[in-house]
Amino acid sequence: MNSLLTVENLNVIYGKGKDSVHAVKDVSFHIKAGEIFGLVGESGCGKSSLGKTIIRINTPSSGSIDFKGVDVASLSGKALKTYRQEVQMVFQDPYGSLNPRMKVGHAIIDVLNVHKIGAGKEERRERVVELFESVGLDPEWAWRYPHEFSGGQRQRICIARALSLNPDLLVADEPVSALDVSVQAEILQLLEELRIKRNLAFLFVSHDLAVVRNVCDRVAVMFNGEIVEMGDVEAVIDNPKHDYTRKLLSAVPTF
Amino acid sequence: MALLCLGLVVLFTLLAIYGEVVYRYHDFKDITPAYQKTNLDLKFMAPSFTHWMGTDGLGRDVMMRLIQGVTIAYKVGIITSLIAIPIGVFFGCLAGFYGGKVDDFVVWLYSTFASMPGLLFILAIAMVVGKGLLGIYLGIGLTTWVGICRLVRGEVIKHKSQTYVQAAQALGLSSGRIIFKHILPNISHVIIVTFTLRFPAAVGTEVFLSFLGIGVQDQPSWGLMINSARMRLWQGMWWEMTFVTLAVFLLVLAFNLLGDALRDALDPRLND
Amino acid sequence: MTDVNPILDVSDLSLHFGHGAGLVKAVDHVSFTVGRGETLALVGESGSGKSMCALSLTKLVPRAARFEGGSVLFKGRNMLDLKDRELSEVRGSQISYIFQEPMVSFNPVFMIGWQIEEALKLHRKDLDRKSEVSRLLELVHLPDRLAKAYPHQMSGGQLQRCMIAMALACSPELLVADEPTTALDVTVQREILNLLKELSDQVGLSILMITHNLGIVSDLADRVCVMQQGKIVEEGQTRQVLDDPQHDYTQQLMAAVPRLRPTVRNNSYE
Repeated sequence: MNSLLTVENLNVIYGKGKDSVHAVKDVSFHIKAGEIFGLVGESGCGKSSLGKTIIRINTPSSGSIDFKGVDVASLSGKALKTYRQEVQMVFQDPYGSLNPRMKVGHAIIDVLNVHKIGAGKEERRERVVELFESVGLDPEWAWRYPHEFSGGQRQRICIARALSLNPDLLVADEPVSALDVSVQAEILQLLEELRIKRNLAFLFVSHDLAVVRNVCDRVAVMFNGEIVEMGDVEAVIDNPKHDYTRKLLSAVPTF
Repeated sequence: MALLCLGLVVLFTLLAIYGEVVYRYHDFKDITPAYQKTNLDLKFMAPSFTHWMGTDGLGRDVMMRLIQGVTIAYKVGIITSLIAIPIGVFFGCLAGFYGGKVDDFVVWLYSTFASMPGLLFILAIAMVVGKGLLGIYLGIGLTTWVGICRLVRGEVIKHKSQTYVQAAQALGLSSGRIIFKHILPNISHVIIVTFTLRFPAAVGTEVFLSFLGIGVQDQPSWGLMINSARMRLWQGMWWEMTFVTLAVFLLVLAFNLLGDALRDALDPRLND
Repeated sequence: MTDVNPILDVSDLSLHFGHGAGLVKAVDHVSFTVGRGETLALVGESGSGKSMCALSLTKLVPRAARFEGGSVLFKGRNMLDLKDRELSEVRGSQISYIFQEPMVSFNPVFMIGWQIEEALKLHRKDLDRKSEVSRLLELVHLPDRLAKAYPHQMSGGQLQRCMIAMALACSPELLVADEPTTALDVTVQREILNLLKELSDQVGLSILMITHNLGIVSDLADRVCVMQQGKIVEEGQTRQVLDDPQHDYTQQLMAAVPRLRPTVRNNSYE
């Protein structure tokens, strides 16, 4: 079994007592190396909570997250920092996820500094150039501020920043839903390219079934914090078993 | 308008530096500077070409003393800011970023400070460290960080929920680095504007304290000048009072308007 | 079914920003009509000028914008010639808007019912407002008790229904919906789309729908205009445009949209 990430019986509960919210209920799934695993559901179904728990911005209440044979559910300090080199995240909002007061190249160098990647300033600058090229951006643009870029370009920068640590798994939380369709297609193509070139695995969180259908290998449908259906993407979308999946599919306007 | 204010502020700043140089020079040579020389023959002279703003009760030139007063005002404004702003920013950042118990503690701390009448607190400090500038610096500095702390806390809470902060966390950056390298530059405009607005407030407080006699002792502070001038005002000695209050007014106004202009220029929300 | 007497007739409309090298033609010689009871969709990507077109109808454009000719005939009156006071009478009572963000379109400190009443107060002074609010809520399939709810107690879908109720408060003849479902979940979006369809069928409402989602166009619109960089590049009956796009840009746009069932793309509509 060559699974990269195995999640078992994961629970995430926010708050305590009467006000607590059970955001993720007893979720289990696995992601193989180089696989794009889709996670679909509507707002409030717990898909973003699950994504954030896997990169450990959130701490799970119970259950295990096994990454390359290490249980990362309870990591902290140094070990957590190492884990974060291997699992990265791209967010939905390409406008908010870059610091507006920092040149984009410096944002990447900052990350390299923290994780002590590359020796010296020159090497780190070279690394920025490589990263920019790998996401299809002109390296000259690295020394500009975020507001000088379009939404699609910013999302490329966010991807470059996430790649700076050479991760094996990228959690992409609605990476294209804020973008125009033509830009969306370009970014999806970039993700596919990265998967092939770097054998990168994705947890692709999305509400858009059509996008998931087009980029994912397997998909899990979440409803009220639980995974109600999981399987190969063709099987789930062409032949849904669960009522909720059917309802979701029939709601999508098609042409 | 903003340019005019900037011009005034620059002028005041130059006068302050000039005043400080004159003070240091005479202090070093150990001679009595011109603005301290008393000449009872020349007392209460109305403004003339030799004494543009007239002379005071001891025959000292009002304009010279006024310029020395700028130095004191600036020292008070800057040093109290250097005390208050770091305290406020530090606690505000901690409270806003960590929330929970840390936030509770900081909110408790600044609420406690805010509930004490500022003047009493300053008086208490002046009693401990003695009359003079040190008491004023500490008194004003230690009581006015509350407002900055509140502002910074609110701004940090706002920025904490933005995706770029979450992204930084996901990239494995430490909390300290996120607060001071990523969030702080984004709220720097708040701090700069606060500085320009609290500067004249501090000057005002110094004038007031010196007037009450617990501030500057032997230096020509604006407060002292107003205090001595008020006795003679009804006798028709209008010039000392007029020029000093005019100077205070202009300084406060210039800084306030400059603060407004800076806020408009620095707030990224208004620029985009 | 191009109407001989359309409710809205926009012809040769141009709206510019800036000057010289910074000149932006947000709307560039745009002409279209909306017939009575018809739903017209304006599709395009961000920056194509579709929202500016919608705002131009009642001169709600930003101050920096300049009208550079053209006319907007609404029931035979040129809206661009009206004074501010006359325009504000038209806004809301004859042309209503619903926007993308239902969460921020309500004042958080007032009850929903009260806010709908406010809209009624402005334009219709004669009727019993309490019962009218109930009628409107019923029209958008919301229970009466929600009139006493505050915006934060409601979901996005419920708020968008309230927006529609508010827009319908003064029985407008034209509803301009600017990306009304973009911020909503698909199942909620489905409900809102069904509601709009129902209103257009039952009340005979004319709808100008601004959207980037070709699926919504296919669902709702009778006719469609495709916009690119301020210009209308293709116009026609919805099915005709979607099944057999003529312009390059329309073709690109359609190719870029990910399909739910890629295998059945070509034979789903024969």
